[in-house]
Amino acid sequence: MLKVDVAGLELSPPLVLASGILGVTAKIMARVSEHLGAITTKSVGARRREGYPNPVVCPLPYGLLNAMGLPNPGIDYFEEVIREFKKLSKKPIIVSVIGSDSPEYVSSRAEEAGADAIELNVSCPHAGGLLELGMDIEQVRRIVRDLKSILSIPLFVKLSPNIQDIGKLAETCEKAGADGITAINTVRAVKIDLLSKKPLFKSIYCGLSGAAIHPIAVRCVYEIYEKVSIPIIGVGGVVNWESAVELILAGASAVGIGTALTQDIAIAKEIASGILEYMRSEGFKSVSEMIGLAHKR
Amino acid sequence: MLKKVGRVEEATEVSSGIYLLRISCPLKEPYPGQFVMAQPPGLEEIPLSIAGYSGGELKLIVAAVGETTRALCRMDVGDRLWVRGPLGRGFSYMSRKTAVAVAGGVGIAPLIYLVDARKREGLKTKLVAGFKSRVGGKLIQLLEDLGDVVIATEDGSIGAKGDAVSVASSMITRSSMVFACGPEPMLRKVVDLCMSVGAAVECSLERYIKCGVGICGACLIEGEEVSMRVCADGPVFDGETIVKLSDFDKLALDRSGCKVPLHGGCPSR
Repeated sequence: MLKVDVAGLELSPPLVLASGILGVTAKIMARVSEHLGAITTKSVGARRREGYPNPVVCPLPYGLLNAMGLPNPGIDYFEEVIREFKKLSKKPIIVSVIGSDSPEYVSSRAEEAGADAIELNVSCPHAGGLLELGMDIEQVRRIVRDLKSILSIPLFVKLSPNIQDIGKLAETCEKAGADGITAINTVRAVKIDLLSKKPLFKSIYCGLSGAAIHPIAVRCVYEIYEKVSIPIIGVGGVVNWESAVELILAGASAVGIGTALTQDIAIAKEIASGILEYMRSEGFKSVSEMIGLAHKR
Repeated sequence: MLKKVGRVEEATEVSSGIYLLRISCPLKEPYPGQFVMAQPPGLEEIPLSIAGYSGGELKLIVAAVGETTRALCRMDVGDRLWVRGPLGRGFSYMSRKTAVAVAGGVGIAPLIYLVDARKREGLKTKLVAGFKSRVGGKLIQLLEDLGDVVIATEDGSIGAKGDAVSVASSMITRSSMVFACGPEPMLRKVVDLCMSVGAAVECSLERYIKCGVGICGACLIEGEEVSMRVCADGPVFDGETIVKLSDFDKLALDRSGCKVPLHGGCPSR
């Protein structure tokens, strides 16, 4: 009942590990994948990046601020991680690719190594110039078109809520050939340290995730669903089955989980059984019956 | 676990380059073996084992080895800093078995809290504190105040001559519960010894911790069929888990997420 097709990927349950969360080694991804339908890796570029020095997170009563700074060992190293994961798990692996660091090269290497899909990151709010890139509709159109011309696996584009018209950008991605949209990345934020009287993070900007951004994610997914017919992976503030179902009703075919893993690394298990219970009590036979139901009047 | 403001009540050099910090900071009562992320204003946030907590006062034992630890140790009474915690999973410190705590160097920090917490529960612990060479009188006093303590130095300059594990070995039997913290080659010896005599053992491990809440993956330690987050699944692991961790005493992730020899470099650098 929890099975869903998302741009050709078969996900069961319709839950995906969000990018940036634990997607570092094959073994931890395999461990986390147990209760998920698919996993997304940390964002990878052509070159190795160390990320920002600590602090990289700041927990808030209603969410989490982070500025990791896209740490990754580079695709030459990471392709082995992809290969190892494929041996350890049957679950699809979506490789997140940094949009500003040779995405064509990185994506094709990832595909060769066995990636089931690519997620183009043009939305990190604090590193790699990605927020600026993600605001430039022409650039995004060009990158999506270039990637589609070389890839045979599905391409998702991860969008930022920090832009004027997310629906329009999603539409542009669809027209350029994208197979799906992932929304949303973290919400751009700044934290001021009351002791140093300066921004807490070295990057000044950081990203807000967790419960606080859930209504923003729902709004973005709702707007995107109005504009495109390709599937949406809804991400942002999913902390329980209720917040997951809300995103599905708003138009998401599958739901990403990230910050909630701070509570419990196996929280997806609980969320999946909650979704199933909801489906039974509401008389749904499949996840697809629920997708975007909020739009039908 | 939200960040709290801590106020330095004392920063005393108890041995050359090793400081005792007392910080008033209201935290959820920590378990021995848990840690905090501490950040002097404007500097790096770093993980530190909790060496004690009572009445809203946190004790840390810090070796001044890097920019941040030096800054921490130089703080004056009344200075403020950020404290996030307690984090991670601690020792099974309430074990009623005959307990032996084995420490290497500043690995003593969480074991001070463990011995103290057990004492408050009426449980005895033998503590073997190993150092390379002579340590300061204030540190020795602090350890002797805990009760049943054996100091060991590798050069024999004070206490028993030898490393902590060799000195502790005569005290460990099949019915022992062993708690250990220190450099990984030393912990390997402890685990091997405990496995060979059939004693239960728990070690507190160290990796480069970033988020501290189990989501960034910077501190992973792994084996053939196991992947553990030191910050959230640990930092304390039992002997059965440690023997499955082939990374133990060998490999760690560097800042980019590349697995390298402990203290080594990334091939893709």
